[in-house]
Amino acid sequence: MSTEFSRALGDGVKRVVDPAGRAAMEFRLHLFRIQRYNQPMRAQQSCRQTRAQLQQMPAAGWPRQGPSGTPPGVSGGIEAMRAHRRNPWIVAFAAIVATAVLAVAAGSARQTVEEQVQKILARLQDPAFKAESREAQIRQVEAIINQVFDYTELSKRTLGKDWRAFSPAQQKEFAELFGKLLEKVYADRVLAYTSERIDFGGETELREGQVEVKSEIVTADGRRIPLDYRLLLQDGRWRVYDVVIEGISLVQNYRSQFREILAKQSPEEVMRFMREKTAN
Amino acid sequence: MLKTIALALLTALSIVLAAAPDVLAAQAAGGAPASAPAGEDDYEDEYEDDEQSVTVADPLEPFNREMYLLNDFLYFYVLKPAARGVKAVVPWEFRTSARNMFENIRFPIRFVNSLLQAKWEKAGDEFAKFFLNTTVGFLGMADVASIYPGLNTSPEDLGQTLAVWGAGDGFYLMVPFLGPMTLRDGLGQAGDTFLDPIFWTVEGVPVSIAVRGGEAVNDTSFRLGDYEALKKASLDPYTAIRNGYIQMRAKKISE
Repeated sequence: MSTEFSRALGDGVKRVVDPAGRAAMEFRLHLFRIQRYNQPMRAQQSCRQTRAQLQQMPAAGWPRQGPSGTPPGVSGGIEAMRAHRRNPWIVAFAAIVATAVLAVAAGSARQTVEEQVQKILARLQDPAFKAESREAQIRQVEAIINQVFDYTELSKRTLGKDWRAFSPAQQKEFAELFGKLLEKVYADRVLAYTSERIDFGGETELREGQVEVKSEIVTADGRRIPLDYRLLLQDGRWRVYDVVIEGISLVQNYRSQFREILAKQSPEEVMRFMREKTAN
Repeated sequence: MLKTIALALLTALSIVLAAAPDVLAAQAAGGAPASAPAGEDDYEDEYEDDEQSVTVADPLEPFNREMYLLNDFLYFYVLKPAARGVKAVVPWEFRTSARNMFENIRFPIRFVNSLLQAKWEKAGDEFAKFFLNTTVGFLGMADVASIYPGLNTSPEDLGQTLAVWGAGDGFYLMVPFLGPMTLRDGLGQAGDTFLDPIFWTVEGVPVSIAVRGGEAVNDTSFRLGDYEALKKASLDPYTAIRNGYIQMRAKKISE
């Protein structure tokens, strides 16, 4: 009687839960596939793991064999029931966790920016940092900024079609000089906002692999200055290619300036000007 | 007397603006750079969106550049020293209160323009903000409403209203003392004056100028160093300011 009952129960539970478990895993795999362009390395790994788990899961249908190889019988039903009841639920739970993880992973562009900004803010609060000279301070902030800014991409976008007027050697030097200029500007502004808080908002996808992360600088007197970062996924890393301050895109602003200058001067003259500008 | 002159000026400007678009459109079409042949480079496609940056006609550029130099001079030799003096003498609390009061009293401008653009929700927010700051915030001295993020709306003005109604930028102007603006936004500013309670309560030109000047100095005392940083960062400050102004206005109009 009890055997029959356990068998029936096990059968019922399995019929419901097994496909659900599989479906959950399939869904998770699907999510990881979507995510793959967001975080290639991590998603590929997760995909592989999930696929392996899926292969290990029992196919639909009643197992003729008990989990440990024992023939189906008195304990077989109970064993099967227990095993399948436990497993699918764990899998279903894992799927929920995976979704939560995914939400965090999709926020990785935001994380990238937030981490660096928090690093800068933490450094600014450090008493040892405050004691240092301004030059040393700027250099330290610049070092942090350097990790997230993609100066080549910034330069390309800033010059737009004028980028082709520069020789490869000039392009390389331009990216360096432009980076130096922007570093200085950004570090200088960050140091000016010492006592302030930065709130991070959501992120929006501009197009595949390009994301805008919103943030707001809250000044000491309660004013909010919107500061958005635009990031690009490159080699599995999010790199900043534009900063938008109060609705003003840095790339667009510099482009308007270079357009004006390049209309009258050659790239070499522009380079000389940039060298002078970043010399001190 | 002052009010009659202002009204006449406004009428004249609106006639100019009504006639201006056709002339300027023709000018802009002639002056637009020839587009490069498509598909020549990867960047063409990839950065297509970025290439469509906001621009403005600047037929008065030589004059504007001169005016920019004048404004630059005025900043360093008049506004900045005055703001530094105020900052050194007047405590932060007083300066903030003054700024908040100026902002609060100009509520009609933001409110009416929200209504003119049929942004009912924003008008409601503006009203709630004004009510809160006038009562709890003691005549607007404290910006109490700032603790409610929903009430921090981007301020509307007549320039934006005209843009929403379909008016173009007109052309770019660097006005002595007042700074960068487009013809449309300048007209908007003139029109907004009639919604400004300060305009109706303060009598006499010298007093008006003193009030405006005081406000400008007070505002600058919070932003010392910003303009210097901008100048240091840019390769051509005039173009940087022009582009920054246009981008900022485009953003405000879209909000």
